[in-house]
Amino acid sequence: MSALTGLYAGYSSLILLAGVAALLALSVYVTLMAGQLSLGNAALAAIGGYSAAILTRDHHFPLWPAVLSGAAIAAVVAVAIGIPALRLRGIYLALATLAFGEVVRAAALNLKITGGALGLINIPPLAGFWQVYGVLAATAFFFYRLERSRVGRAFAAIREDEAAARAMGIKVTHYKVLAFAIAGCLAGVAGALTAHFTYVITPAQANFTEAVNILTFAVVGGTSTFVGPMAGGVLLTILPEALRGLREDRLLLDGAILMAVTIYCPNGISDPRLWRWRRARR
Amino acid sequence: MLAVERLSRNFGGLRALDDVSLAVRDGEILGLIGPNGAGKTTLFNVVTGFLRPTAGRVRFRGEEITRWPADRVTARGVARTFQNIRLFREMPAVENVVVGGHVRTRATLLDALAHTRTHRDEESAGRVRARALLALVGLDGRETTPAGALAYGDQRRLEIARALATRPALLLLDEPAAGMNAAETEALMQLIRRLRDELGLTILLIEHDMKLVMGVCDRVAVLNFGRKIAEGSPEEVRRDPTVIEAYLGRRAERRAPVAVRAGEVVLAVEHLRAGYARGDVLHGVSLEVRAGQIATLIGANGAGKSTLLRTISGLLRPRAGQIRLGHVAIGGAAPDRIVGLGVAHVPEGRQILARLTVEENLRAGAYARRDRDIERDLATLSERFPVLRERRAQPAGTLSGGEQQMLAIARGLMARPRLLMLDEPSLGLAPQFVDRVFEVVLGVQADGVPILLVEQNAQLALETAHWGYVLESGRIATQGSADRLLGDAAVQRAYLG
Amino acid sequence: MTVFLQQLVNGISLGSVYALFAVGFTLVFGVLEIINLAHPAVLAVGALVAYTLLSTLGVGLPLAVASTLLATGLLGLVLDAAAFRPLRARRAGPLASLITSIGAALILVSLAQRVWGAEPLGYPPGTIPLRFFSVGGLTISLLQIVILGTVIVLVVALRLLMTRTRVGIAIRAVAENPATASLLGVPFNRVVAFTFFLTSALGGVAGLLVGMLFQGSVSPFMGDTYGLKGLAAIILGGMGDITGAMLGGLAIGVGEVMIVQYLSSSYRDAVAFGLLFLVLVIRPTGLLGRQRSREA
Repeated sequence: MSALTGLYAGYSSLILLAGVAALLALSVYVTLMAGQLSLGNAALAAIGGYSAAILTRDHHFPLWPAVLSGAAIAAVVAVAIGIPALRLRGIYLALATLAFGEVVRAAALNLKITGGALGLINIPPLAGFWQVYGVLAATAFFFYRLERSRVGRAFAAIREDEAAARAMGIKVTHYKVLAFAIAGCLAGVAGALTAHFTYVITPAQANFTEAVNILTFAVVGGTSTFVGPMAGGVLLTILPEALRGLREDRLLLDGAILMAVTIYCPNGISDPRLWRWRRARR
Repeated sequence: MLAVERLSRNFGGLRALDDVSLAVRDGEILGLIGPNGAGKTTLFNVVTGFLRPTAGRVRFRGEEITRWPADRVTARGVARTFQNIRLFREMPAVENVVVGGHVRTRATLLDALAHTRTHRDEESAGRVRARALLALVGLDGRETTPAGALAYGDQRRLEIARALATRPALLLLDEPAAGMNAAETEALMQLIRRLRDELGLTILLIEHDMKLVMGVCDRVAVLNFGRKIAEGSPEEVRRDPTVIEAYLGRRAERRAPVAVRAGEVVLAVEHLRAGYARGDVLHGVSLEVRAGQIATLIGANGAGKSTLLRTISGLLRPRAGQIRLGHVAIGGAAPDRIVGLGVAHVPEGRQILARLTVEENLRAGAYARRDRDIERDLATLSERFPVLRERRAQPAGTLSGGEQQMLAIARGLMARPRLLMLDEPSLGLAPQFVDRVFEVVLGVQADGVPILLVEQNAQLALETAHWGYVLESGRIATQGSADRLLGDAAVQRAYLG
Repeated sequence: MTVFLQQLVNGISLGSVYALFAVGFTLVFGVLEIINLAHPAVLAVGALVAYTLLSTLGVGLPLAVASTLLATGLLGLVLDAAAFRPLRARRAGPLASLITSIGAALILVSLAQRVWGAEPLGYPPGTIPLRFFSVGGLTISLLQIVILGTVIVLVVALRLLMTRTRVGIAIRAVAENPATASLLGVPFNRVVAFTFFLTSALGGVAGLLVGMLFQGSVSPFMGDTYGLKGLAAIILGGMGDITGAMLGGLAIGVGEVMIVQYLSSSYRDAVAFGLLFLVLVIRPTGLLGRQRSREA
């Protein structure tokens, strides 16, 4: 057991980051379930993180009320963005959410309450393994149930063919907004937790690169079921670190992995078709 | 049950629906027919809330539903299928039907998370009902197949099952028999009757398959150019001269084509089989176009005419059979190679490049050529089509329908083709434009370019061509000199059953 | 007033570089309906290649521009063949292309780092003599004139290519309606490859110009900010429209300079992207964009 704890101590930060990456990937996944691409989730996570950090650091909130408040605020913002952006499709929606993300980053950079370019530091260390993975497990359960429910089917119908979904009596707008709200919640929780085990939060966490990273977690992991984005998040967080010894070539390998996975497994590594083939082979 | 009152719908300058009034009685099966582009699907779209009318009203069971959004209309009890099949392709068949039950269930996200009674009961009831509906339409045993993997006829039936899951009182079917063979159509007819007799549904259906329409409908309404031109029992409608003229075209004084002695074979198609993922559309088609000739291919909507042209020009790969241009086999070759060999295809709906200028469109037509005469041809064609010279620098999208058709033909001619293929040049054009376009077609033939003319308007096509082929359900039903076919009852049967 | 006009001049010369860069984005989007996120990396490579030409090899400016055009153009061909064409063959969706372009960008930046190192570099000081002209009370530097001039020449050349040549019309035909273009004999993959050559060439020169405009800023990582600005430009101007991209780029350049001058530099980004969000929500097709009506 001591070997394991030793291992954990050495890599704790990485393991926690992997867990949060899985959460963030799921936040992108939920909007993808309803056929919408959101590139604003890094910003939503930042909103959750900043809110929670301010509450715990400056107002001495305990962890969970702060996290939930952060999640709620992020969810409200997500809905506020989602409603006007609802009429947009595909790449236009993605760009709108990206623009939103930049506004958030710029705001964080300039407002006093967010500490400007340096962000917030000295955030109390309230989050650890059980908090992060507890939430992740609960979220996984949530998605498990969601995928097998009337709501989940409505999402899938909207994703496949919005017009046909309408013809089935599905209130498309209602469900799209719901998806955004859930995404905001998840991202907010992820951001809040991250703030409490990295002890800092900066505006850079809401930037374009981060937003795009989260998307890659989801896409590389595969979007046919919730397990995909989780796997993608974990893999794409751990793998680059595992290759860290290669220093300069790390970017190269990251890039090569991304290209290779997209070209050879365009539906992600969790594509059921891939695994079915392998089982058949045996 | 359903009352459509003076419904109109415009798209820019186009009157897709023009003051249409129609009533569907409780428990009846009403057929809606009419040539391509007559406005039938537009009517469906307005009734079901996908489009708003420019004028007029829709009443369902006495309640006005005119501007209601689609989901609300479905909740009220009107369900539909789609002309282009809009299934949820990745989902298994049974799940498609379960989704149909969405509007009649109410389990929320919380119910699902907590696995409440409501959730569990609705899930199992939903599945049971879905399986029953699948069995009703004849798809039991195919439950877990992804909808996209089903055979075409099965997909159409699945759409019906899915629509039934919404528990409608009125069912709108948009071309339910499209792509089905005779046996499947027969089974569909029985199903439709059962739906009315056993489930008490009222049914409004759009169809081109006359056998089905005549066999299953209590009454039939006919649309043409957005207007209702006839209504009555199937027999009455079939004999109505206005209806016959709408489909076959009117006899008129037209210039006959320049008589030529049939030259050598320019295009030979032999035993061609081709189709799409859903199945074959062409089942062994053979035809020829000879030098100096206009050959025409006529037939009802869905017979496979456009599919044939697309296979010849390389957009579609043939599954069996041969295509030869002169002595060169072109079956299965890439489109740019076929164009390079001299086949020009003027597609259905004209498909001009809207944001490029008229002149640029013409130049694009000459893409496959590398000789020096392009400028000269550009000048010659501008002479021949004065409207194109006038609007040389305007974006092609600003031209009227008839002018666009001229442009599309001229663009095809810019390639100096050995064979010009025209797909439904009269489609969507007002009669006087049709006359002008066909004069042009005759002029092209007089210049020595052989033409394969595909047309829905049989009368017009046969008056223009030398030789005719009648395509019915993917096979050549009859062929002969155009003069002979003009009077042939077989042609009328191919269209009107 | 003079301050305003002066800043306008500055904004235009900055904006013209953005415009050149944005044209690359929009051309690829018009033809393939994908966002190529490797384009910023191409800009960086262009700037670095120019560095080698100007500093290490001591080549004159016109030759450097021409060589950069060629070099990055060829890079574009490689990019298409390695990253995008395999996805087209598998009929993968636009998301996949987005991700693969990110991967390609990482690879390019990493390779560039190997060759040129991570430290910012500067072009030799004498490349453009430091000279200023006074026009009606405004000061314009020789540098700004050269930049604007280069952009104008390239843009005019592009326009001629697109309207007068066979391949230009082919590109526009494919962007308008790929199925019809096929019917006219246009070979899709070859046209796409050429489009990548073209856009990457322009992106590379944009990099060279940026390197001249901002002394000592040339590094493998310089492309990042331009990615966002390029996207902003094409959103404003309408995706798929070349003139729109140019106007968008100019607008971003002028806007950036003006906001810094009249508001505060720190809120620059917030205002800019807030406006962008509004543009998308109100008029997603941008100022000049088109309705999506075609089938691919």
